[in-house]
Amino acid sequence: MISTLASSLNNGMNFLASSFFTSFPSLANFLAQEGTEKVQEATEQAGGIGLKHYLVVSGLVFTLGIMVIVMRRNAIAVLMGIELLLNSASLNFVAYSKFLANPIEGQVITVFLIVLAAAEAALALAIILNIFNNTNSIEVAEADSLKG
Amino acid sequence: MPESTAAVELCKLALIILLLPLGAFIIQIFFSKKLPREGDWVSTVAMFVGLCMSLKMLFVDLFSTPTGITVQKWFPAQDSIGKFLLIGDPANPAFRLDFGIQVDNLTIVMLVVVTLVSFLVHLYSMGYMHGEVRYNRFFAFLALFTFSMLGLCITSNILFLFIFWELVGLCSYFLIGFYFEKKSASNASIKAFMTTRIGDLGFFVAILIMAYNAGSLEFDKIFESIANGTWKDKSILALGGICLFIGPIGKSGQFPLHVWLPDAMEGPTPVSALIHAATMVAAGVYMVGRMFPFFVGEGYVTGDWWGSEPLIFVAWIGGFTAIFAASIAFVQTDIKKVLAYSTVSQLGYMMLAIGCGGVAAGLFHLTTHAMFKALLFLGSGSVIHAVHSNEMSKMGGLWKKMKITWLTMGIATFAIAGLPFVLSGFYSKEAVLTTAWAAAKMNPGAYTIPFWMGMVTALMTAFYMFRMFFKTFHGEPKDKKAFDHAHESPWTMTVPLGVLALLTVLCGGFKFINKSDYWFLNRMDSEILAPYTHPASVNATPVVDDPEKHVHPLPFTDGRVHMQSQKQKEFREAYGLGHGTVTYLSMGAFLFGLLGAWFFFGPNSPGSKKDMLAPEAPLGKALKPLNHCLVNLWFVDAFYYAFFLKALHVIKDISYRFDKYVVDGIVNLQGVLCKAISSLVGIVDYEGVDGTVRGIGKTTLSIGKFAKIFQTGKLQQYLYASVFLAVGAIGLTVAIYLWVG
Amino acid sequence: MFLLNTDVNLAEKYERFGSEVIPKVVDSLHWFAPELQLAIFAIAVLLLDLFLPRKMSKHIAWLAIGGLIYAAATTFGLHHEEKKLFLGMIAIDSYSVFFKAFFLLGGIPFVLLSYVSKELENARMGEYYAILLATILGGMLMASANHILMAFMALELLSLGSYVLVGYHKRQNKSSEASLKYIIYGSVASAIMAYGLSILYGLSGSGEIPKILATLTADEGMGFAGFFALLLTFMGLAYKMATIPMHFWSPDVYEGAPTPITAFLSVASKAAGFALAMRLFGSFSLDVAPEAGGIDYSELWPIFLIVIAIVTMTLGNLAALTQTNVKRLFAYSSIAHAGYMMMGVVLLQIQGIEDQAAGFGISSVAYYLLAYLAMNLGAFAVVVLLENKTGSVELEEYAGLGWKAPFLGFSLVIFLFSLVGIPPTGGFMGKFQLIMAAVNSRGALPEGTEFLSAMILVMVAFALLNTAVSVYYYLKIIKTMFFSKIDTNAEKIAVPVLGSVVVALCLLLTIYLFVSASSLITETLHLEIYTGA
Repeated sequence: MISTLASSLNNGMNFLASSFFTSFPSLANFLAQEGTEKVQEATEQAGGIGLKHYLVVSGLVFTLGIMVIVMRRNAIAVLMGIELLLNSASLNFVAYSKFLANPIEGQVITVFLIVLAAAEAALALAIILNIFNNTNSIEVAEADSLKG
Repeated sequence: MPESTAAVELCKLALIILLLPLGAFIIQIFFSKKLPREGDWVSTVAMFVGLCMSLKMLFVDLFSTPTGITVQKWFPAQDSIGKFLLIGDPANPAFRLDFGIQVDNLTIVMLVVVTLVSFLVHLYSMGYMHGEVRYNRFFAFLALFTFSMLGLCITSNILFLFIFWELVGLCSYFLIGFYFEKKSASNASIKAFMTTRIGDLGFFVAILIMAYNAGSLEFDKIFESIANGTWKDKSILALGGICLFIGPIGKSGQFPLHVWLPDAMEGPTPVSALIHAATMVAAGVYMVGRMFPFFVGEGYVTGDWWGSEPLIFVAWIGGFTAIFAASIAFVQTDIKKVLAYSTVSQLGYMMLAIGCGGVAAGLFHLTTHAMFKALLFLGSGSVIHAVHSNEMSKMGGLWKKMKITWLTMGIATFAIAGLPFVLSGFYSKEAVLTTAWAAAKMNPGAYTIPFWMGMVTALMTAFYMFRMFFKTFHGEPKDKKAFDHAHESPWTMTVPLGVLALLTVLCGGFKFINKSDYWFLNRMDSEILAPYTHPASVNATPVVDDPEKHVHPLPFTDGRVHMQSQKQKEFREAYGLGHGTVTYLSMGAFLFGLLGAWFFFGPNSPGSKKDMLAPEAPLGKALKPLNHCLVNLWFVDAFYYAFFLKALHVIKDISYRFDKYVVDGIVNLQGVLCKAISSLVGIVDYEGVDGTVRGIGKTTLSIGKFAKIFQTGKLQQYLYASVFLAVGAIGLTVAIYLWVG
Repeated sequence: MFLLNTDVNLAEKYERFGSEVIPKVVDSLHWFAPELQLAIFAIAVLLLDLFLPRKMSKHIAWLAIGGLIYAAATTFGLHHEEKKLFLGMIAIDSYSVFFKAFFLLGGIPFVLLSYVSKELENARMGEYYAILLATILGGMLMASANHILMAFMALELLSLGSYVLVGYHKRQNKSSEASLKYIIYGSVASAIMAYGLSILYGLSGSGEIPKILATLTADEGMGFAGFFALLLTFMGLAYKMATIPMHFWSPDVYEGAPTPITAFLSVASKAAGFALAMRLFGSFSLDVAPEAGGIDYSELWPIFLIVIAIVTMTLGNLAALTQTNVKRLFAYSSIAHAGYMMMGVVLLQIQGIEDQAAGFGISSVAYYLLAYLAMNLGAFAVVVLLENKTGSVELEEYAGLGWKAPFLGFSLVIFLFSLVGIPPTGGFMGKFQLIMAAVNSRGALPEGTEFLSAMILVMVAFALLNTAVSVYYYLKIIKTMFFSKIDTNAEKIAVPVLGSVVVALCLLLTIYLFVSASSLITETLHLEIYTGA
């Protein structure tokens, strides 16, 4: 029963991912309407790459990150997925800061995010190491003794 | 009635005296097991305190004035707890009954008698009943009985008197049936209760008559309505009087409801002493005395007491009872039975006296009778205690072994027989007989025979009492073993005997102490005459032009003007004149009775030696038919049994069958139906209602278990589930939004 | 971007930086004193641990407590006014002061519990206390965050510290597994939150929360983008608050972590989550004209929160019914209580931040958090003390313990009664306050949102039903403790004094919260969130 649930969740996940795909362009369009002038100016300057493009990319990365996290067995791979997520957020910040907002703010936030991602990764690796010392395995699915 | 603070104080004292035994009863019932000696001293001390208070009332209040005190009434807490029953508007009620306390000479005398005898009986019981089962209960009931008796004496209206009357009957039921393991005892207690109940029926009818006609149940109001002539239906008055007397016929053991009294000897001896000698049976006499104006009826207005039908009825019953019971006492072999029949006989005397218009005489005899009858009973108890048997055939020659008992019982026997001048019994009997003589002078047709009945009874009394005395204490011991075993009783038993003996002597010798004649009679009489001096009474102002009424001032010296009617004046004169005759006659009766008894039963007497009354002897043969009747109690009990009880058995059978098959059948059917319905309801409740509740509980738990499923322990599944759940929540939100908006 | 904006003179910029920015920052330090002190104490604890032998490391707790008290004293001593610190990073308002005091003073019992717990006896405790202090610092910062960066960083500080503390029993499988689950789950959640925050940043052009909220409440401000962004942010906070849909970590982590940390997580991190949530979500005005022919997303939001509240309560209570592990049971109960507290967030949502003083949203959540601190901390303290003696947290092992440790048993009864919501405890008052406020708030609904009234009633109905359901499992504990193995002559368990002191304090606080409820609630009504106005 759980496996059917899992597979259905899997499908749902895929659906969600694809919905991200399709919705983001419209989102980007919508968001891009905000500061039309600024965006257009920046687009021209950057050689025709607009806000939309960044947003789509970050959306993709986000989706990929989610998919990696739920699908990979190896804990370190899951960590990579988390990194992807955080990086997509950073991308967002940078993109917005370039096109729409106070230029410093977004980039500063990005720097902090990167630092945070590093710290988190270090901590996660330490914990994975601890798990490995205890159970000799770093498969996420095997750490399931706490349930119910 | 004047309600000065002194009066209220007096009534309060009476109330305290009333409540003391009640308190003792309550303590005895609840705490006696925890008290040392099972608390017998509690009620004894209570009685003693009551006695002291009563004596105080006696000496301070009664002795201090020539006529004692007038009626004092007090209604404690009249508008609250004292108010017993209120029908209608409080300001103008249709009927109102308050608990009131009334104190006058009569009350005080009764208080003294009751508390004194009760106290002595308590003291006696501490020795006599020692080691008996239910020892603590005995004292509790004694206390309750005393409480009831006292309540009877101090209440100011007839309904409360009736209540206490019933309560006294209830206590006598308990006390007579004290040894209820014995069938005869429990039968006797039922017999007592039933018989007195029949009397109470008449009593209650009379109460209803009073309530209807007089409009109130307070004594003074009733008497007022009679005196004022506002009594509604005058012809009912006589009927009411007769009905009212039926109560005392039952309670005081008059013929024909005397049957319970001898059987009541099944109770312990102290009970006999208290109840049958001194108090319960005296309740009837007290009540007749209290309600005397009612019995007088029409005569109360006219002043002619001696034409009143109820009073004549009373006198006849009293006289007949006296002679009847005395005759049966001749042949009794059980010492207590002798005393029982003697009691019945003496009660007849009292009723005779009152019936002849001499309330004071009757009450005087009540007082003295209380003393010596209690003494006789307690003494007999002492004898029974020594010999371990009631039968006189086991006694004899005990005077050597039990000096104090012998002496005191001797005094009592002389008193009851009427030893002239020395002992009180003589004076009281003389008063009774003189009253009857004078009444016979007033109304010869009605009162002559009762007088002679009383006279003959005096002779018979002396005879059978001395018979008992000689058989018990003199002659050869009939039972060697019992005789050897006999010994004098302990001090708790002999002290009361001594006290009572002293009182028996004193009550008579009192005449010499108090110089004024008729001390008792004066005080009692003033009570009866009080309405004539009451301002509210219509007859307060003497009607000078009517010689039949109220023309002669009474020789009292307290300043009040007491009036008496012409008839009363004549009565007093007749009384004074007949005094001498009666005295001689009664002295003669005493002597003949004593001699006769000595002849037949005395030690070393010719009669006893030859055993002249044995069935084989010629005299015995001649008297055999009479003996047969007497032994069978003149067939009264047999008659009752055959007539009433057998009929009752038949009725009982019929009603039993009806009850068992018809009534119980219906009830059982209902029971079966009920069971079916309730089991059905039970099923509905258990399965349906409880099932729902349990079902809800189970469902919730199973939902809970279901909720746990998603927590699989696998992290990635958690993440899936989170997203799933998030999408679900958003979807639900959007759905709600679209549905609403 | 310097490259793009070349219209401004660089030199001017530097000058502005020197003359305006730096003084402001230095000035802000004065108001930042409590946090600074806490940080210094954290470092001091760490240093002290280096010099003390391992056996004595657990006594460093006293230094930690000293630090907390000192910082708390400073918090109370500072004369607070509403202002921004550090160029808009941190907001000082009565709201943040309340939460700072909450974390600082509430942190002391946690330190004491860790000190008393036998579970942590052989571990190196110096680092433990340092990390604990840092985590508390994170909570304080979360409560006073005015900028999304600060919010996120503080959240992460809190979370990272918690990840480590959960896995402190390195050798135990359960503890390490719990920490693994926690960190992965938590990272995912915070990453999602970061994504959401980024969109919010983009929408409003500034990272400061008041500005973001202003953008969202402006006409046509909350479109799909805004809603979506808020949703993602909510995911992150839902993880911290342990509400649906991100509650899955909490039973496992609570079960696996050392019990004092479980206690800490259940109270402090939840409180921090709520503090931030109310800053972020409590302020959309509903008087927004929808864009033509579309969904009014701002109306969607309260509905969403109500749905979350209802499902959280229900799921938390239902799943707790059949639990046999006390810590797991308390985990689900925490989820349920988070659901109750969401009701308060809903209230704030409806009231709107402009009107926040008139409404009971903040005050009911704040009061409930106080009560929750008292009762949950107390309950966990009893669990810790009993675990010290019996070494187990399975419910069966609790049989008859009520008679063996009467004071603890009795206190637990009171705490459980408080958790259910039976007077005369603070828990009852908290629930009562929430429900009353919810029912009363229906009158203040803006036009066109009357459907919310029915939904609020449904929410309240669910709250009451869930209270009834929760009675079962709370009383199951009482029943097991008192009526399973009735042996009133059993040997009494000796309880360490310090532990009893903690329990007694919590007991007193529970009752005190009931007794002085009205004055406390009146106080909490004055809590205001800085709106930049």
